[in-house]
Amino acid sequence: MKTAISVVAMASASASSKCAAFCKQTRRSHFNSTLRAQLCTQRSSFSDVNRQHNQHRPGLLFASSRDSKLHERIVYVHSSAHSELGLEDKKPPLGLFRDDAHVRRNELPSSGYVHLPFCKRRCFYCDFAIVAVGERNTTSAAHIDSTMDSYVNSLCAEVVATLEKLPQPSPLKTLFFGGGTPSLLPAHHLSRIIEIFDRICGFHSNAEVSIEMDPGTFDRVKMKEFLNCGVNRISLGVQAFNDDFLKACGRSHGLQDVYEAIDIIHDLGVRNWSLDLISSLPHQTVELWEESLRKTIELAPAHVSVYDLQIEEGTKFGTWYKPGQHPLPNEDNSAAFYRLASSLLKEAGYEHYEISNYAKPGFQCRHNLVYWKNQSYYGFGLGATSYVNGKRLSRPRKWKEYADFVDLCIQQKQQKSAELCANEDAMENVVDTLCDTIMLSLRLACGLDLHYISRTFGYDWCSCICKGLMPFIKSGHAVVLDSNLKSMSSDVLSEAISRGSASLLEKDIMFIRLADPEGFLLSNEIISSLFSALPSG
Amino acid sequence: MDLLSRHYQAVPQNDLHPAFLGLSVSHSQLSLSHARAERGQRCRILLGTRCQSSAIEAPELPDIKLPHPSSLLHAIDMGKDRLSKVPVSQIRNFSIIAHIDHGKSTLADKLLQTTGTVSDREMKQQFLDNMDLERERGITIKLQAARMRYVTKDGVPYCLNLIDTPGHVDFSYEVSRSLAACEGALLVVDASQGVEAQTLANVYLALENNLEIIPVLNKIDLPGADAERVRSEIEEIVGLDCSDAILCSAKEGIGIREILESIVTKIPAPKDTSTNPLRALIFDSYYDAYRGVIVYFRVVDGSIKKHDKILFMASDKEYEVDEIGVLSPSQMQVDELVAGEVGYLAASIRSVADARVGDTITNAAKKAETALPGYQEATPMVFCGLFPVDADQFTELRDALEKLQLNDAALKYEPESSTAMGFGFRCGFLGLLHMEIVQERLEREYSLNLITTAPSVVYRVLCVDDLVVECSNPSELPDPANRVAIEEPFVNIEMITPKAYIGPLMELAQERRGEFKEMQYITENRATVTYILPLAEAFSVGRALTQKLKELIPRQMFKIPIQAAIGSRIIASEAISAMRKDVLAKCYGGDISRKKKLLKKQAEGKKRMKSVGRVEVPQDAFMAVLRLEKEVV
Repeated sequence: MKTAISVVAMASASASSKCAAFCKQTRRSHFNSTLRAQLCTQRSSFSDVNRQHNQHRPGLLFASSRDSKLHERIVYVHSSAHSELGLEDKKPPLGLFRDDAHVRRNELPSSGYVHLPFCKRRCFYCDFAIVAVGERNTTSAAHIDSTMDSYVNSLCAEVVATLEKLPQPSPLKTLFFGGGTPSLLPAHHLSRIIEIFDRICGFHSNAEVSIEMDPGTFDRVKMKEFLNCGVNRISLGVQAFNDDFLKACGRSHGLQDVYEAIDIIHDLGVRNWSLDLISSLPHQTVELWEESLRKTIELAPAHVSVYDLQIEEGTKFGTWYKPGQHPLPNEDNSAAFYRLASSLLKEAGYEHYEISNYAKPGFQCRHNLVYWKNQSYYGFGLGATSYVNGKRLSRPRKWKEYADFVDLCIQQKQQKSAELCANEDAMENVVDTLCDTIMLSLRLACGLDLHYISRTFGYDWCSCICKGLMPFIKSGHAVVLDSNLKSMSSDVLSEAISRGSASLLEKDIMFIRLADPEGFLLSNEIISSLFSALPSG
Repeated sequence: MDLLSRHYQAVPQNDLHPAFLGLSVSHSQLSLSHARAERGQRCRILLGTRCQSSAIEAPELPDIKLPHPSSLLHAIDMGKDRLSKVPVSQIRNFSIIAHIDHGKSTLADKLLQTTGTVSDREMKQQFLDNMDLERERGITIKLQAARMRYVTKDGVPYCLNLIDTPGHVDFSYEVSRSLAACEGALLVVDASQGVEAQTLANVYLALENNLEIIPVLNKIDLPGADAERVRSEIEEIVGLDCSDAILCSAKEGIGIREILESIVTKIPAPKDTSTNPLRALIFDSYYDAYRGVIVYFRVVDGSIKKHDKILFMASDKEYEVDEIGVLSPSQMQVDELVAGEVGYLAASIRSVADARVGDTITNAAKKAETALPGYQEATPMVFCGLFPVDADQFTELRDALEKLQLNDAALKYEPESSTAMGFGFRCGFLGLLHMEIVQERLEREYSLNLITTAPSVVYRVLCVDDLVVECSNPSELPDPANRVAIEEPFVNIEMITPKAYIGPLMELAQERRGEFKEMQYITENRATVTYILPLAEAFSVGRALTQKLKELIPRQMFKIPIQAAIGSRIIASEAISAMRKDVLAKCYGGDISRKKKLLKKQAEGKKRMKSVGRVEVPQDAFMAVLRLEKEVV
């Protein structure tokens, strides 16, 4: 387990400005060192980057003297022996952050998602809330700029209206810019958004700030600007290592763009980056898929996301293709792709920590883990979903409606918003929360924490879940783990269940997870079976 | 359909078909596979095709002009004195016979409206069909009656009794009884479609009952209407003089007056035999929770009054009449009904089996010598197993069947248990539609969740000791050593088809082990082809069933072999390979609700599935097997 030293500096409104300054200073230094460490692969470049920071964007992140509220807040400063940077030799338990696993429901989020919907064009498989702006050229540039300006204005207004009415927003541990293609945005927009979060919430010392970037939408300069804004994790939407496939998906980039993008990432020393791939593309064969995986491994990203192509209604793929039918690979081949990814990536040192995500030790995406641990998070922007106080809220997917929504947020700024203030009535019922927890936890390599279930929902639910999973444990699709995440015999569990022994269950068994890859492959089947076995589930 | 229920033919034992696995077909199998041919090839067969509901717009009240002073009254007031007595010579009892969708119910509605029997306000679409199920499907299952008062052009008031008939071949016995209660019938033919199979079947039934038939060409407002062609078709096929056939559009209210007038002029009045001992023909009955069985009847001889002691001659049950009345179309109490009149009675009768359709009511004190002819016991022709999805519902199912049987003398059932399905009932029905109706009523009115096994027919097994065993269930089949022969029910099937499709139809019949009887050209371009066909068809169904199940049972976590077998001999087999992979979508913040909804839906689906052994079989698969006939080629 990691040993976390928390320095908690508390200051009241009446505290001296000296104290407040101390807090500010502490946070800044920690964040900056984190940032530096994340950006640097070599000790030698450490000071360069540091100097760059100080030279070009002096004090950008936390020097905001406007933040009069800062000293009113409780500031957590973590100096973590185990960091997420992979600088430690000691491996943390797979997919586990035991300290923050059980955020209390009425605690405010310390994670934020920001949706930046702009894309050059809509990919053929995509049904996200996006805004296609076309290629940038002399005629379109002015229009694109004003479109983005106007969107970022709305977005910032939403962030401010939402966060400023909170009495004590927690500093962010993770911030994620998703899209769309966030990398289409000029860096000054990003910087403006991050500054707002910094002003109102502040950032945790080792906050993870991720951005999705597409090859062909940025150059070295832009990437540097992003990093200077505070971005410290890149998720690169490669999708395929084959020009034909990229074309067939309607992607706006080519293979050349992919290599250029990765060169930039490597050159700038960004270690914490993820490479996204899509499997089961039309005409994809096992051989071609293996080639993609091998190239991925060669390029050594810290994190790999492998998405199984899903045919959505209303997309071009939806009208052209039927799942499992030519030219899409059949179910057997798709399953083979999944198995291959799992075995090759694991062989190359990646942990398969979530159904479609792999990471080198310490490089799991902490933002996404927030989702899978069913913790709360803010969501801002077109179509974004937030989960605050046990309530999920999806923002409108159409721009006009979203703009109206933001206006409403501003109007309600003074009032206590139902969404953001503790409101027992608005909470999902217990079974819903339990189902969320089951569904999300079983996506993870550490699986379902039985103690947590028992403690939060009661032993009866826990035992019910165990019974429901028993057939799958017997068939090898699910695995029982002890507290060290070592797999153990299913007999212990069946005995604990048959004796109805809470203590036995608690003493020996910690987790039930889906087997990799066979259990993951059938996760829907297993989870829905479990749901149907739950009373009123 | 001329069901040769007594006409069993021997089948070689090794040719025994998969009914003995619960995989089988019934006559409806035939009818529907032909119905399929019909869709593509525009041919018609004599068997009832599946009824379909048709969208009919609410009829408008026509502008009626009568010379009589009462003509000034609005139509709503016209029917007010419909309870007043008229001499027997001014009573007309009639039915409407038609092929499905040729507009029978719309015409009936229009007649009720025009005579003011039903006001606009109370006008429900297709008034005579009052079960939800009937209205939804647009078909008449249980017939009803309506008494109307009509004042002719000459100002003479008449009492018209419309006796509605059920439309489906499953209920041909009920049709024949209600026709027997009439003196005449309107033969409604769609002016664009012409004579169809059911037109013929019903006309023959009407002719058997010596009814005066008035041809009516309906839907003449449709662009495709060709009255002349249809007129000559009726003359050629049915042999009915159509020179004064009435052109009508029930929907538009065209020709309604002419129909009413010709009912009065053409259909003979009932014989005045009111002084004879009472004989009344039951043409329908249903169970009412408060008053016991309500019996619909036509008084043929004598008269019947409240508090009369009556005897049902076939069931030999005696009751005292509590209530007597007419149907107009709602029940209206009267004191007495005499020969020629149509009405209902209630006598605290416990079960419809005591007052079956076709039975004769007589006066217990003054008995008639002979019953009216034509009574038949209900013989179930199609059998299937009904099992509750949730085993806990077994007793509820038993109670529901008991209650349904009170109202449905043709429904037979006995307990059955199966290793796959648990406890349930083996039920017998008149036909496939009857089966579906019962099943739907059980689900709808009693909230039962059922699984129905594939329907099968009754086989007759001749044993070495000269014993004849009838079995509807493979488990009842005697030991092979004791079997001499097995016989199966055959049907006489008459297909009316355009010339061009004779070939494919004959091929189809041949494939179904059909035996060619004859072919006749009825017009230059249409012919009837007659075959004798086994009521159940075998191997093709075994094959089709396994294929259908393969399609419908979702892949599961292990491989599932599907086999259709006769005894130990496998006649068809398929396999569902094990599930390889789910849809593994990513699941981030915005996806969580959607994903959960999806999984919950999948979970709901699982709850509805019936586990047969380890295999989860969706209800859909059971239902589709039932409807398989549609898709079997």
